[in-house]
Amino acid sequence: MSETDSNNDRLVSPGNSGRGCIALVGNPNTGKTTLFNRLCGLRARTANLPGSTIEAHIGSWNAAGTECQVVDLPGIYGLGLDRPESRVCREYLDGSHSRFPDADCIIVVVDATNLRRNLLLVGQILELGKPVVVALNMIDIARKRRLKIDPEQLSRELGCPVVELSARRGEGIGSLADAVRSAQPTSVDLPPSSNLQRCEQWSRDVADRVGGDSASTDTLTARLDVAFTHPVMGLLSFIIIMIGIFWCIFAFAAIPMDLIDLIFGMFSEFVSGLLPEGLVNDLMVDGIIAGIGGTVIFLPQICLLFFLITLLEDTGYLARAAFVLDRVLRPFGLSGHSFIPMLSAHACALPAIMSARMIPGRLERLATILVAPFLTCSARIPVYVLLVGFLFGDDPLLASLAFAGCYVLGGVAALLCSLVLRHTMLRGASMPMVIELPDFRMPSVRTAIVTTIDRGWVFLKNAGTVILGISIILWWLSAFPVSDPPLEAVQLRQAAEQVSVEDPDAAGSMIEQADVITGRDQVANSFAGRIGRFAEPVFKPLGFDWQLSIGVITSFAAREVFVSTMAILFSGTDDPDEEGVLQRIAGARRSDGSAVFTIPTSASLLVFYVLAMQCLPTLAVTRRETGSWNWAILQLVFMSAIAWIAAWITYMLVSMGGFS
Amino acid sequence: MSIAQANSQINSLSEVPEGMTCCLHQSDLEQSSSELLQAMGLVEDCSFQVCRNKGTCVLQVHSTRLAISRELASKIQVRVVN
Repeated sequence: MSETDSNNDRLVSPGNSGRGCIALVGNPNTGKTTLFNRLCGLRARTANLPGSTIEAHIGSWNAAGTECQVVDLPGIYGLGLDRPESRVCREYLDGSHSRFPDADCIIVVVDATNLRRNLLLVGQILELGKPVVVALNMIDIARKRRLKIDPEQLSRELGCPVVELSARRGEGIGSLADAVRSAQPTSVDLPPSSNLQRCEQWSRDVADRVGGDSASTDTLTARLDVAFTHPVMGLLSFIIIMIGIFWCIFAFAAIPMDLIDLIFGMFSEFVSGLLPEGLVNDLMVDGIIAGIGGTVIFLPQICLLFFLITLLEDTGYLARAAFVLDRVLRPFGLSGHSFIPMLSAHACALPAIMSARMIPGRLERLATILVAPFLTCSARIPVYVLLVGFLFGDDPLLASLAFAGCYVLGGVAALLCSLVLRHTMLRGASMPMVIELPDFRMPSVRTAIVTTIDRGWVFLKNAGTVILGISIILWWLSAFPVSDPPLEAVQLRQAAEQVSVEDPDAAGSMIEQADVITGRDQVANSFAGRIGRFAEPVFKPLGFDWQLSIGVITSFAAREVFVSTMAILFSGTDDPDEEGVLQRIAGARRSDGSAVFTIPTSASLLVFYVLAMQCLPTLAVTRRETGSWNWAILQLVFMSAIAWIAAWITYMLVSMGGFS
Repeated sequence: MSIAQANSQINSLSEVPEGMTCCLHQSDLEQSSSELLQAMGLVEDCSFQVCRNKGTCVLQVHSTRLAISRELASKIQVRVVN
C-alpha cells in the first residue's frame, strides 16, 4: 500500500503526532468528557497540560479500524479569556506544546439545547484555520424540548461538518468519524473574535436561521433549584446529600479495605515464609509490602469517593453545592468549590487534595490543598481512640465530647489557616463566583466508572511510587543498626529451650516474650530510636520523652503507626487489639518510675495529632498537585509549627490546672 | 425595592426583585470578570430573568442558568423590562 493510500484510511492527516490527533473543545457541561469516554473508553491517560496543573485526557479512538489520538481539553467559555484553562487551550491549539501531539482536527462539542451561546466558541475555533467538526451533542434532549435544529443549514453557515449526536447514548458516533475524515478549514467569512458584539450578533443570527435560537429551559431544573439554591434549604439539602455520600464511603469501602488488608497480610506471610530470615525478608515484608499495603488500603475509599462525586457532578448538583457554600467559605478566603475537597478530607486527605483540581481559582485551590490535611481523616481515629481513652476512659460523655472536639479543632484550624494564608502568602483577589448551573440530568454510570478507574490509577501510580521509596527509608531507619539481642531475651530463649519438651506452651510463650524484648530493644537502638533521643529536647516542652518522640517520628509515615509503635515499645507486640495491651501502654513507666502518659502529656499528644502533618503520602500528593516541593514543605512546616505550639499551650494549661 | 420602583429606573442587579426580567445596561467589573460573563451569554442589551436574588444571584440568560456572587451583581447595572 502506498503512503497516499495509507493516509486515506486515516481519520485525520497526521501532523507531528504520526497517526493523527483530534482535539475535543467545548463549553463546560456540554458532554465533552462523556464523548471522550465514549470514543476512547479505558484507552486513555490523564496528563497535566505543560506549565499548569490543568489536566487533559489523551486517548486513542479506534473508529472502524482506523485509529487516532484524541485530546480532551478542559471546558472553556472562550479562547481569549484570562483564565488558566483558556490559556492552556489557546497554547495547545496554537501548537506551542511539544510534549503534546498537535491537533490535526478539532471537534467542537456543542450543547444543542444552548446553541446560541455555544456558537461564540465555535466561531473562535473556526478562526484558527484548522479542520473543524461541530458535534451537536445532547440532540435527544433538544428534540424532547421541541427544538428543531437543521444540521445541514448549520453546516452551510459554519462551513464545516455538523454531526447530531448523543454521547450519553452513543448515538451518532459513526457519523462523527465520517465527518472528521471530510473536515477542512472553513472558507466562510466570520466576524473577528475580538469584536464581541459582532460575534454575539452572528451567533444569534446563525442560531435563529438554523432553528436553535428558542430559549430552552428545563422546568424540572427550575423546580429543583427552588430548593437547591435556597440559602437555608440549599444548605440543608447539601448536608443531607453529603452525609449520604459519607455513609456510603464508610459503609461500602470497609469491605474491600478489609479484603485488601487480608490479601496483603497473606502475601506478607507467604513472602516471609518463602524467603530466608534476614535483611531481604525484612525489607520485603516490613518495608515494601507493608508500605504498599498501607497505601493501597485507601484505594476503595478513594475510588468510591470519586465515583460518587463524578455521579453527583454529572447530575448538575455540584454546581448548586458550590453556589450555596460560597457565602460560608468566602470570608475565610476559600470558595464554594473548596467544600467538596474539605469534606473528602474527613475520609482521607489524599482524595481531598486530588479533588481540589475542580476549584477554578488558583489561590483558593492552593489554600484548600494546604489546609485540607487539618481535617480529621480516618487514619487519625486510632490515635484519638487511644488518647481519648487514656484521658476520659471512665466517662463516656466526656470521651465523646473530646472526640467531637478533635473534629472541631481540625475544622477551625483549617479555616483560620486559610484566612491567614490568604492574607499573607496567598494574598490576592478571590476569583468572583460566576458559575453556570447546568440542567439536572441522569448521570452517566459509564463516565463515572471510567473517571474512577483513571483517578484510582493516578493515585496508585503517583502516590504509590513515592510512598514505596519513603517506606523503604523508614524501614531502614528502624531496622538498622542491627542490635544484639538483650541479655533478658537471650536468657528467656535459653529457658525456653530447657522446658521445650516438658512444657511446649510455656516455651512458646517465653520465645514470644523474647521476640518482644528483642523488637523493643531493636527499635530503641535503631537509627529511628537514636533520632528519637536526639529529637527529645524538641518534644520535651510538650511532655514527650524519647519513647514518645520515637512514636512521633515513626508515625511520620502515617499517623496510625503511632499506636503500633507504642504497642511495640510498651507491651512488646505490634497489635494494640491484643488483650491487655492498651492497659500496658496506659500504665507505661519511664526508667525513673514516672508515668509516660500523664494527663497533660496525653492531652498535648492528642492536640498534636489533631493538627500535625503526620502523613508522608499527603506531602507526596501535595507536591504532585501543586507541581512543587515548596508548597509541600511549607505545609509540613506550618502544620508542624501550629501543632507544636498548640500542644505546648495545652500541656502548660493542663499542667497548671493541677492534673497529673 | 418595590416592583414599581424597579420598573422605573436603572438599578444595580443586586437590588432587583426576584422574578423580574431585566436588560443588561452596563457593568463596572474587572475586565476578566466582564469577559467571562460576556462569554457566558451576559452581553450588553441582552435580557434575562432574575430567578433568585438572596445572597447570590441566579439568572436565566436565554438557555443558560447563571449564578453570580452578590459582589459582582452589585457592580452590574440593569434596566428592568417587566
